[in-house]
Amino acid sequence: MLRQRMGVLGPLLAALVAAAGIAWGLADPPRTDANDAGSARTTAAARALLGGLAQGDTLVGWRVTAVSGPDNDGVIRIQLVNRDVAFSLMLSPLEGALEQAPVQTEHWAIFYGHVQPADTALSRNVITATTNALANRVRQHE
Amino acid sequence: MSPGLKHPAWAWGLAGLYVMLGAASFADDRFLHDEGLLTHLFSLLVERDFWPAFFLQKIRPPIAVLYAPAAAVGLDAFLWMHLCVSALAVPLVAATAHRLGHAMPNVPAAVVALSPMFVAGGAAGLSNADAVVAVSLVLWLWGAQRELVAGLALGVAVWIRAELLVLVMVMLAWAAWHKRPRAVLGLLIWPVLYGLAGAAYHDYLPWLLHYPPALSEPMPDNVYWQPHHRAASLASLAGTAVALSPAAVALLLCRPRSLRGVERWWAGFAVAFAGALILLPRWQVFNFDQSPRYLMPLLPVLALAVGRAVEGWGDLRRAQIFLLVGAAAISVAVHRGGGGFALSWATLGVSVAAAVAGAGHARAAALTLLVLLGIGPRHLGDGARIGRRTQAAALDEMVDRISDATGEGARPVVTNEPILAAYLSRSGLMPEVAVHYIVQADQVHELKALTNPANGQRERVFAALAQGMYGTPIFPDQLSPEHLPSRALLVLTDDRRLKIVMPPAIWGPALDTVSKSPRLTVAERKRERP
Repeated sequence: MLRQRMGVLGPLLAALVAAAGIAWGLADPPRTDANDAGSARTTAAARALLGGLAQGDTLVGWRVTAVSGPDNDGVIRIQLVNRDVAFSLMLSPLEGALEQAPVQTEHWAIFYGHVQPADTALSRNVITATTNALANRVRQHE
Repeated sequence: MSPGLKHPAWAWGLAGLYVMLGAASFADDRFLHDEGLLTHLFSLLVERDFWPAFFLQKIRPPIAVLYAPAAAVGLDAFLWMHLCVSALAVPLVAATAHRLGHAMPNVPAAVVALSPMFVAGGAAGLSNADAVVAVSLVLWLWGAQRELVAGLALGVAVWIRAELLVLVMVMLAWAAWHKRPRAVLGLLIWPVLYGLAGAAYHDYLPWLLHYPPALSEPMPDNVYWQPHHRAASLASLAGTAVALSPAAVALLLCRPRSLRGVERWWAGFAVAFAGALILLPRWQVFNFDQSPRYLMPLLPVLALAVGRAVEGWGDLRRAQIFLLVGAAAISVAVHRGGGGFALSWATLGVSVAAAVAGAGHARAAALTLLVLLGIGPRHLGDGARIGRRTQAAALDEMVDRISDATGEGARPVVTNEPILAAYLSRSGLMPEVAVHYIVQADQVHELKALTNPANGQRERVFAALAQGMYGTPIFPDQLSPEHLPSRALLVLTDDRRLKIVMPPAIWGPALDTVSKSPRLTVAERKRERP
């Protein structure tokens, strides 16, 4: 009789532990790489490189809507918006870069991309002005 | 006992269900995978130039020949045939369980048919799924004491997946222990016949060893392998186990005493195989990484052991309950570490089923387990890491960037992403775009090391590859800025190997970047300035 009860209650205990774990995970999701303290420290270093450039600032008339990185490849991304057009500038470590960037500093290559809407053609003036403005900031802090 | 858990016809029904699950993934190419395309490519090589391909061990000759007719028809035909061949593992495992006296032989069949990893592998065209079929066939023959044919089948299977050598060693030990020389004879038939025929082709007796199926070690200084050699984490092992089958947790309830005769030898194989596949990459022995799919051949043995566990789970001992509660605790640790909920759901499902069995409702317990298995292919398969979005994370972004750049007319695309050509063609998104694939240095290194230059095999294999390899191949010696196709758009995923075939000193000044993201660089050749 005792053994039979154990054969029911034992697995039920295991089920309870697993279910409680799931409930805990749903109520309080585990911290991931994206939001842990290490990542935050890295973002602070990136912000220093950018001379404090942060969300809400402007760069030659373009509003900064996000700054993220560096990611696993060391790339720092700055998203810019002006009216209905958005695009990103990417700072990539110059060492070992495959392709030549439109603008470079001593240690960083500056690229642009992720233009939204997708069929928007950025003018040469916009590209030159934003990439050079970012490069000037980086040169002061790298 | 419900007839559904025992009648052979239900096993064929489960095989049909397996095919339906796999075929459902064809609609969005959820499991399009470069290794599956490689299986297709190897079959095409057999079709293009039979003898040089047949005596190249790398191409896994038994399945390359099997699939060659379908591969010649097209990738669709190949994938359908591969899925249907994979489905044969289901009735084979059911028949083995039946023959060994399992009370519910269709439970192991359901474990195989509803394995998230096996569904994905069959639909993707992975040779690991063929290894599952081969192992299922070997176990069926072995369990029926047809040792000669079982040995023959296993001898052939090693040329499908070399890691099945572990099973060969177990069969040799079993044959020695039980004095069954016919099994040893069977094991020798294929290697001897294939080896002698190959010796005539190569005009070189020790060709099997000189040109092995795979390199024994990676290409020197190959950066590709550097991040791959890591210890398997608890989260990845848990994810792999659940992706093999959510019922894997039930193994904790399997008493060794419940295994009969030959099943204990198979359990020994499972332990040795898992140990080897988990530890060898860590020690950088042989040329493979920690991909979960390598563990797929364990599935038939796992399924049979789950079948035994289910037979006895109405009478659990204290140790088994302790293990089950321990698994539940580990599942909490896994997802608190960011490893996901798969192990928790699997443990919950198996525990509930075991409790129902403990209350004396064996049929309801089996149905509970089937519900758990049923949700597996759709919701518990992430640990298999076979999905297209896992394997080629930048693919959707690639398609967007190519679409942006080809607004004024199709441009040829040069890429290092092996599945791009197949995806563009199958999805119908941009079938007119010509895709050129950059063959990596380590791929060329391997093919050169495994082919014979003296009898013309190497030259003919490379000529056959030139007819098509993930698109139109560009081999490293043909790759230079001057020789890019006119108006070519370079769409390059982040791959450390790329710098070997595209040295930055040469390519940096020659390219203009169109866009760059963490996973993807789009570039074009710098335009001549007037």
